Amino acid sequence: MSDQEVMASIMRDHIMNLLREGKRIDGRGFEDYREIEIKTNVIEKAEGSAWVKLGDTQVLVGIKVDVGEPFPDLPESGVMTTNVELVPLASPTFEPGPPDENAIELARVVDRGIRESHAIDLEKLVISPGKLVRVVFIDVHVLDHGGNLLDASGIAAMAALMTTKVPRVEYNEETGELTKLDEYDPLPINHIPVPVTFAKIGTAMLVDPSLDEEMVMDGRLTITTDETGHVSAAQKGESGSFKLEEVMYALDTAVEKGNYVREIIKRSL
Amino acid sequence: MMGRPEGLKLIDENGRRIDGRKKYELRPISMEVNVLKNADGSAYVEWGKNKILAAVYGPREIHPKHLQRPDRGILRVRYNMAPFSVEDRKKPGPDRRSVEISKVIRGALEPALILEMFPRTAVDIFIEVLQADAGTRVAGIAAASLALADAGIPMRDIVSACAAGKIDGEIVLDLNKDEDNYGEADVPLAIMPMKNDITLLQMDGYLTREEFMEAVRLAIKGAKAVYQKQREALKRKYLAVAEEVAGNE
Amino acid sequence: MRKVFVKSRELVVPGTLLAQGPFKAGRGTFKEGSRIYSTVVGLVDVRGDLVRVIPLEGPYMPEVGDSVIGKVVDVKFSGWTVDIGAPYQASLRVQDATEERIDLMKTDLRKIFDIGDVIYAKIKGYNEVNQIDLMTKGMPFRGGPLRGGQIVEVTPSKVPRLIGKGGSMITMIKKLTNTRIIVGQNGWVWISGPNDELERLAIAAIMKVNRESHTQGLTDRVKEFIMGHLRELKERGVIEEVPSEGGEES
Repeated sequence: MSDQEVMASIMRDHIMNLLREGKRIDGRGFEDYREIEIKTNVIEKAEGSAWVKLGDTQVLVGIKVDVGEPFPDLPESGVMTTNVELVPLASPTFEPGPPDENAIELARVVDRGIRESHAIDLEKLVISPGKLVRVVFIDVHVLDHGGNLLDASGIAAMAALMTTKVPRVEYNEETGELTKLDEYDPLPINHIPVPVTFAKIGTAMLVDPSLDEEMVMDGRLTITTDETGHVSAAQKGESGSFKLEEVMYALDTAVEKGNYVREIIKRSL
Repeated sequence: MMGRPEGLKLIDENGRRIDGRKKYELRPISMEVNVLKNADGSAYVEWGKNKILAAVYGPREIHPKHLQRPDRGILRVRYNMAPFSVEDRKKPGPDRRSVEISKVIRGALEPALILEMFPRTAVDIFIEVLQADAGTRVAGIAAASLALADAGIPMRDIVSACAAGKIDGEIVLDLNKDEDNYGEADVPLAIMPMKNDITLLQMDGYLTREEFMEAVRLAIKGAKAVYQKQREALKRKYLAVAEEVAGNE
Repeated sequence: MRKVFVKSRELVVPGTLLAQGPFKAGRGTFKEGSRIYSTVVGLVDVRGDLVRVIPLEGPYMPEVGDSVIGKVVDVKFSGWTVDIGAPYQASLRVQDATEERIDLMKTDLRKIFDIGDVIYAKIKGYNEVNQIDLMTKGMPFRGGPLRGGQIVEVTPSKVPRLIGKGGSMITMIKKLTNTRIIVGQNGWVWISGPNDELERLAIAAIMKVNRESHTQGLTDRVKEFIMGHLRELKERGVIEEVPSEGGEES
């Protein structure tokens, strides 16, 4: 076995032994988040931004708002897109280059959580129906990979969106001329979806897994809920399997922990 | 979800869906194993209008060496849609959706495989969607499991899969394309049926907690029905030979 | 509690519960607690306390002592790399290839076995890091290369059926079709006949065994199959005589 795999297997034994005693490697309870720190408006050039620390994990989300064409089948709706970059500065395991499957999965789960809850009121982002709408780019930049990038990214994305200011525009339907004004409106936000991720190790379900826990986990489950208790995304990731009871437990816990995290987001603004 | 044509009803006053199905009814499904010569295992699945081919190669030694695992074989999955599989031609090659689906399918199948028997090797699964009509990932998983069994890769169970969703306010089984486009949610799921282990669970849409659990339970039931069809397809190949032989005597 | 949930020779699929109690889990099965499940599509075989499933498909897993057919895929400085249809490629070292002493500096190993050559070898070693060592020294035909002929592949688990009790099945096919056949335990079969028609007939018979291995009365059906074709070949003047049914014992 390689050094890394020997380490992982020793680490797994250690973590499993602790879990049997009801303990996690960093002393947290099974349902505890690591400390969450949120700073907003950290990038002046972006229309919105948030820097989130979740334990050792750090992510920065920048929001750019542009104008563009709507999708042909959705003429009366603005557009949102989510992208994640796992830049090599954040981990020895990240490689430069186009987004790999981990970055793509991460981006798509964060995106679904926000999109499906209609967190952004995209219908209010139409400048001229069928012709011109706002395009909201959510760009997640992972800075330090300490585990649970998904929740950190989801939290940062919402904090950034909630502080995003959209410049007012004047659009001349006849000439097609577009003028940006020096006045700003807040981005219309309907809901605050929050992803809550569980790692399953043996039979234990752990909220907000650290990198050590992720290295040895059997499977991963993320459930995104908003303040109304609705589910807007779910994703089982990696290998492993979950029992129906475990999914039910995760669902209830995701609502409860989601409320806790949502309060922290709101306080940070 | 897409802009919905006005007046479109996905469930009529008699509780029938646009393709005539009842709420908890699967689309017609047919399965056949061993349909390709070159592959070590293969299967073809028609599920509603979905037409999906899966092939397995391996276990075989992999290079470069750094991809090898000294204690087990690895699983690689490529889910790919043919350019002609959808209404508007799809640009060939992997897009972000295919990359994500490939990854979650790998996670859905891996728990069933006994890859510790084949260190330093890879098992490759190729899933080709020839025609798509919603639910391609669950149909792809069903086809891939059959191809794995056909290749004789040792497995703890046959992974089965099905989706449930919400249309016009009701939780229903196995959405077709229109229902997926104009419905409220889609919940694809895969299980190892012997012990009800959930190996794939995703949700795209907006559901209450109760609706979500209802969809999960319904999808499990659907996957179990699909599992029976998988068992039959696997056995049929050999029983057909036995019957043919008996018939000739 | 001791219970078997399936009949002997029953066709099962992966994940089928086979038995519960003090049984041993043989090939094609896994044990969880006291329960034994199938891991493959195959036929159940319960003997005493051993439960196993004979797979109807699956890769060849080498065992020391097996005789296999292989194809040379690379010539190295002091040996060869050989494909034997296993998950791992096999090696043949020069000292295991021939009794002669070979001076590596002076000998072109391609003169012994070249890329593409078909060889007949014994599995000399198969260790925990999946290194497969072959030996052609002391094998029939000096281990090859087997010239001419064709290779077909059958499922490795069906090789015993193809050989038959005491070699009965394969001997019959050889005798009736007047071909030379070498069956590798890896499922690779080398066939060489006096003409294309007989070679094709032998291959068809072998593939029939592969396809119908799990059915009853196979030997008689294969014999009938070959005899029918032989009579046809005689009418067409390809062969002069249809051999007598049993073939002569060698």
